[in-house]
Amino acid sequence: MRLGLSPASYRWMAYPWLRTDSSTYRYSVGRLPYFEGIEAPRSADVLPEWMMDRARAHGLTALYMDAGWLGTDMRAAAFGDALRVAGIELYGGADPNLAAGQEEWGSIGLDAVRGAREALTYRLTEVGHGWTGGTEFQRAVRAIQVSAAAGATLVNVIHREAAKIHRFVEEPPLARQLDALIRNLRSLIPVAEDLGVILTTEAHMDYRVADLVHVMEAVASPSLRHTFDFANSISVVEDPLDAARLVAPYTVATHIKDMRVQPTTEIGEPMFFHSPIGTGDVPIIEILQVLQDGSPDAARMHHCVEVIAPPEHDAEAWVAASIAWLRLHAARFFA
Amino acid sequence: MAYDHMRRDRDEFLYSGQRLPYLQTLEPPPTDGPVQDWLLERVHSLGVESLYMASRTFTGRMAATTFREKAEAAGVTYIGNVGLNVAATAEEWQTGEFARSLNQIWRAAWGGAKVAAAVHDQAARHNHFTKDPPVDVQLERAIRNFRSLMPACAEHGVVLAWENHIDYRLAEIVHVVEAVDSPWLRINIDTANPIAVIEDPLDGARLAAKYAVNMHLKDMRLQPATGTGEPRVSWAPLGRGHVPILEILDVVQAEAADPDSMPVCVEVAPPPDHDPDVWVRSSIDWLQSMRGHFFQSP
Repeated sequence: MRLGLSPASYRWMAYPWLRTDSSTYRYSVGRLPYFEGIEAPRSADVLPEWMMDRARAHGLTALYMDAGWLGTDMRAAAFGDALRVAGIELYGGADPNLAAGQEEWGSIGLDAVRGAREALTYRLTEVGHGWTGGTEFQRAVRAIQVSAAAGATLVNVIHREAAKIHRFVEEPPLARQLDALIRNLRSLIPVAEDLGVILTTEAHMDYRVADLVHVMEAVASPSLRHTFDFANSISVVEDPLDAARLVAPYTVATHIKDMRVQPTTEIGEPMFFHSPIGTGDVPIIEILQVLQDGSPDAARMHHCVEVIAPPEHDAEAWVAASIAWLRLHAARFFA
Repeated sequence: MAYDHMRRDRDEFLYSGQRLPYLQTLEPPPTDGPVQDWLLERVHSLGVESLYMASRTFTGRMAATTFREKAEAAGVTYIGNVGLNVAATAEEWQTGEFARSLNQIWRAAWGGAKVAAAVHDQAARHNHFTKDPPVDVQLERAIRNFRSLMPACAEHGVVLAWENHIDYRLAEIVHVVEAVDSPWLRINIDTANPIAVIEDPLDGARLAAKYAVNMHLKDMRLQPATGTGEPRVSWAPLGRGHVPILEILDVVQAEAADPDSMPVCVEVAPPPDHDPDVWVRSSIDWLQSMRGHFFQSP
């Protein structure tokens, strides 16, 4: 097992649309961070390189990143070269609306695949981010193409509309949502095979791991595997350790994070808080053991640190403390 | 509105910097007398049949007996409450917790309760997630502590209904109930509290239904994905959240020992700046429209 980095660890510092120095954030009346351990990226243009530097600074050997940040195949190839020199493996990211109906998902023919390159552009600005143009299918295809151009071996396909379409909403009902996931992910398998990448699902605060295991069993392709998130199960009322046991045979990468659960509060609403790894209630060591024992290639697997400090706190301090805890308490998994 | 230590007209509430409620249907209970009369009036006004209330609010046997007479005259079933540290060590139990629990069982009986919800009142200190001691040790203590209360429950005719009170999973409570193996220890199913301990509410209800003698009906809205990456769980009027209340009621109706006479209490607590009467009435209306036949008098 090896350690990697998820950029979400620096989301409030680095994501153009979330940065604490953005107009949007200032307008939100959120508190400001006063004691930051590192400088934020100079601009959105250098975001990939900034993330690579963060991975290198912590001695990490993988970087998970939204493929759209690289924009073009040429830029992606150059970034891929830089990663290889640095000894860092890239895991790409795609974020279509996985629950899209057939019309919204669009044609899945060869023309749609070929046309994706021209149909889409990626916007990475303070006022918004994401692919524009094309269909949902083409958005996913384009992210896979860019990831492959950068040399990614895995592309994590997450569900973009998690805020509105998730397992608890009644319209469309969960069974229909999962049918859509099966149909849509199945349509991406030939693209992944053609480009030589493995796609992964991730329970991204939208579905249970159990739901996604059902999806993967239905798609039944060796090109569809899983990125396990250590804490996201909590948000859909699923025990993280049970979830890990269920999905270990499919798991090829993880996002490792912790979360503190405060079941009882004065107002009667439970609260869930990000916490540095090792200080929350996620059974980190037990899950690492389950994945070590049950995943298909534990030795090669990267655990990408995804530790999200609140915006007014020092993200770098949280990341450093989390990595230090893992190297101290989970050293046997990362030898 | 009604709890002495939480009322919104206290100086402490103003000092807490929270928003005030402005458009309220009800007047809060008077501060110079017991809250029981106000609660009985609420029960009457809402057209429901039972009232769940902490037994320790009775100042003594006479106050409890007075309440009992009023409740019986109004045709209201009283559900008692026993607050205890279920995970108390043997020493804590013997030097105070046992006596405190007994005292509340007596008060519940004096108030006319046949069932009292047992609520772990050290949930912030000992719960499913705390590690000192680990949860299996906490549950072993709970077995020992509940077992010691069974003779008093039998003597006073009070069934303790252990509630999943945002502290333990129903699966864990079922384990303890089966280990104690007494008809005087049963379960009060809270429909939303499993969420707080990462247990599926319907799965929990399926495990606990056969031991259920009381229920607290509440709903919660889940927002799994948020801008901060931390899920939010918020109170909702019944039928407006994501707890599968109707499915849970169906399970309990099918599997509980005596569903037709089981008291089921609406427990809907809106944020302090909202109007609780609007929330409670809306919840009862929804319940009546969706499963009214469960609540019709024979």
